[in-house]
Amino acid sequence: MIARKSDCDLEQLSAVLLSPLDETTYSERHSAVTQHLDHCSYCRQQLEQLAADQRWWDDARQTLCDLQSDPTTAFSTTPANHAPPSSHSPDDASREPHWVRGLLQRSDDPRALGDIDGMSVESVVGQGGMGVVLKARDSSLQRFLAIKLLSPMLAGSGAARQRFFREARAAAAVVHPNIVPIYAVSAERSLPYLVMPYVAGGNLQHVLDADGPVALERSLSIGLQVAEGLAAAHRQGIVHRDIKPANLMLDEGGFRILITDFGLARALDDATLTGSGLLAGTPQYMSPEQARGAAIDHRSDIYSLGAVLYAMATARPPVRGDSTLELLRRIGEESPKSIVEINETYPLWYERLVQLLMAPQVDQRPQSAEQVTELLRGALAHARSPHQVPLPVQLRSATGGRFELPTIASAIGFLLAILALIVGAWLMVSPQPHRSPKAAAQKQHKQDALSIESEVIALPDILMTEDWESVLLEQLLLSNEQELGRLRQELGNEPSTE
Amino acid sequence: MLVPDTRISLLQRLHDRGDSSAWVEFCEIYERAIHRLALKYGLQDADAREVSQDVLLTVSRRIHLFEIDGRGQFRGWLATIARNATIDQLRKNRRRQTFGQPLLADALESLESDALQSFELEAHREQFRWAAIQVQAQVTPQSWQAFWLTAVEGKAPDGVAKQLKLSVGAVYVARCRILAKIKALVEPFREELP
Repeated sequence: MIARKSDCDLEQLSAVLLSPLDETTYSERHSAVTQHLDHCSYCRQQLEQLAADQRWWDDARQTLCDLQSDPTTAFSTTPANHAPPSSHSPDDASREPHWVRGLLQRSDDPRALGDIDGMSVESVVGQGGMGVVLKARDSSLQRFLAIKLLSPMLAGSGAARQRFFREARAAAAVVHPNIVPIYAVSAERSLPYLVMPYVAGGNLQHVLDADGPVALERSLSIGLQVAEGLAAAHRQGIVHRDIKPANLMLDEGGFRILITDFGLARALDDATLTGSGLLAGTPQYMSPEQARGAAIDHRSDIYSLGAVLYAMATARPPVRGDSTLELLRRIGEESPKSIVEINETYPLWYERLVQLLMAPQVDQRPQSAEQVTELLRGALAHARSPHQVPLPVQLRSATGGRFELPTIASAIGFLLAILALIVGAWLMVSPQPHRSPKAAAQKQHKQDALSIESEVIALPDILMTEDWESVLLEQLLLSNEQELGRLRQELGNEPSTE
Repeated sequence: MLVPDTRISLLQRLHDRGDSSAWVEFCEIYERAIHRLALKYGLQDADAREVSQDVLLTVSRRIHLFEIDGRGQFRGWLATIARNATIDQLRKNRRRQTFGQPLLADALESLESDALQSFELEAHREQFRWAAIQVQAQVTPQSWQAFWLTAVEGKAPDGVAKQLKLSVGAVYVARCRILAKIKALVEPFREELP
C-alpha cells in the first residue's frame, strides 16, 4: 500500500514522540502511525525533525560513538545495568545510591555527619583514586573505622564492581600484622564500600612529602615489614599490584607499617585500562612488565618494593616524567639516578639492594618475598651493628649490581685472555734466545709472539720477577678497580643511559 | 515515572539536601567531565581521579553557599574549582619531580585560557552520555539497537529493520522517540545550568 498525502497526520507523529517510554502501551496505540511510516518518507522526515533538529542528531552520532569504547559506560546491545537515577517513591529512596552527603542516614549523634549502616561517620578523611575515605566510629565495639566508598564513576562499571568484590574478599582472607585487615565488604548499595580499621598515622607518602628522606634503619625496617606482609599475601596467591608509599599506612607511633588496598588496583584496571589507553594506578612504582601490560606475578610486587626503598632514601620516585606515556617508556629502560648521589648518608650496599629488587628482568630479582625478608633482616642487623654483624653476602660486593656484573665478568675474561697469550708468548719467546734458531715454522711463531710482545710492553718484565704470579694478580685487581671506578662514575653522571 | 521530572533543575535538587539522588546524578555526569579535563592537562589517571573527587567534595561542602539565582554561573563556578584543583595537583607533582619544566608552564597557560571552554565541552558530552544511559535502561534492547545502529553507527534503516526483524516504520519510531527523550533529559542542563 502506498501512503497518500491525506494519510499524513502530524498530530499523530507528535503523539508518538510525547507518549511515555513504556513500550508495551505505545506500540499498540501507535501501530497505525508505524505502518504509515513504513512507506511515507515525507512523514519519516517530519518525525525526525519533530524529535530534534539536526544539531541533536549530529551530537548523538559524535558524542555516543566516541564513548562507545569506554568500558565504564554501559552502552551495549543489552539494557543498561544502571539503576534509574531518580525515583520519587520513598520506598525506593531508602535504597538509593548516595555519594558522601547523600549516602548518610540521619544520626542521633549531633557531632556526626550521619550514619552508614549503623556506623557513625565523623569526617571525610581523604579521597583517593578509588573513592572517598570516611572516618567512622563503631559504637558497639568503641573503635574507629575507615570506610572506603567506591566512586560513582567506578561503581558504574559492572566489571570493575565485580572485580572489586572478588579482590576485596580475597584480600580479606589474608591476616597479617602488616596488612590492613578488611572487616566488611558491602555490596548492598549502589556504591559499594569496604570497612577497615582507622589507621591514625597517615601513609608513607605523607611522611616523604613532609619530612623528606627516611633514615637508613627506618627504611630497612619499613621495607622488612612490607616484605613480610607481601610474603603472607603471596602465599595465598594474592598479588598487590600497586605497592607504593601512598598504600603503606603508618600506625600512630609511626613504627608499624600496614599495607592497604590489596588487589584493588586490578579492579581499577578493568575500569580504565582498555577504554582510555591509560593505566590505573601510579606508574612510578610499577614493574617494567606491568608497565608493558604483560602478565605479572608476585615478583612485580618485589620490584615495586625496591622502588619504595628507593623513594624512602631519596624522597622521590625512581622514575619521573610528566606524562604517563613518558613514565611508562622510562620504566625499566633507564636506571634511576644513584641513591648515594642524592643522599650521601646511605651506604653503597643499599643501592645494590635496591638494584637487586628492581632488576628489569623478572628472574634476576629475588624470587620470593621470603627471600627479600631474609635479605632485609640481614641488612637491618648489619646497619644496626656494622662491626658485629656482617653484611648479607648478596650485598657485599659490587657483583650483585645489575650493570656491573656483566662488565666486570667481561673485563676479567679479557684480562685472562691476555694473560693466556702472554704466558704462551713467554713460553715461546723467552726461552728461545738460549736455543739456536730452527725451522721456518718456528720463525713464524717468533714473529707472531713478538708482535704480541710489542702490545703488552711491561709484561715480560713482570714475568721475569721472582713472584710474578702475585704481581700479575695485583695488576689485574688494580685494573679491575679502575674499571669499577669508571663504571660508577658513568652510572652516577649519566642516569639516562639511553 | 522513571525519568526524573525535567522541570526541577539539578542545581535546585543539589541544594535540597534530602534529595540524595541528585548527588549521584551530579557525580555521574561531572566526575567524568572533571576527570577528562584533568587528563587533558597532562595529569596521570590516578591523579586525575583524585582531582575529580576533590572537586566533588569541595562542591558538596560549598553548594549551599552558591546562589541559585546567579544564572549562568554554576558551570563557571564548577570549572574554576576544577581548574584550581588541577593546577594544585600539577604543582604538587612538580615538587616531586624535577624535569619537564616547559610542560608545566604550557599546561598552566592553557588551563588559564581555556579551562571553562574545555570543561563546557566535556560537561556537554557527559550530559548527553548520561541521558543516553537513562533512556537505554527504559527501552527494549531492540528499540535501543534500532536507535544505535541508525543514529550512531549511521546504518540504513531498511537494513537495520531486516536485521532486527522490525518494520521500517518501527525503526523510525524507535530512533526518533529515543533521541527525543535524550534531548528532553539534556535540555534542562543547557537551560537551567547555562
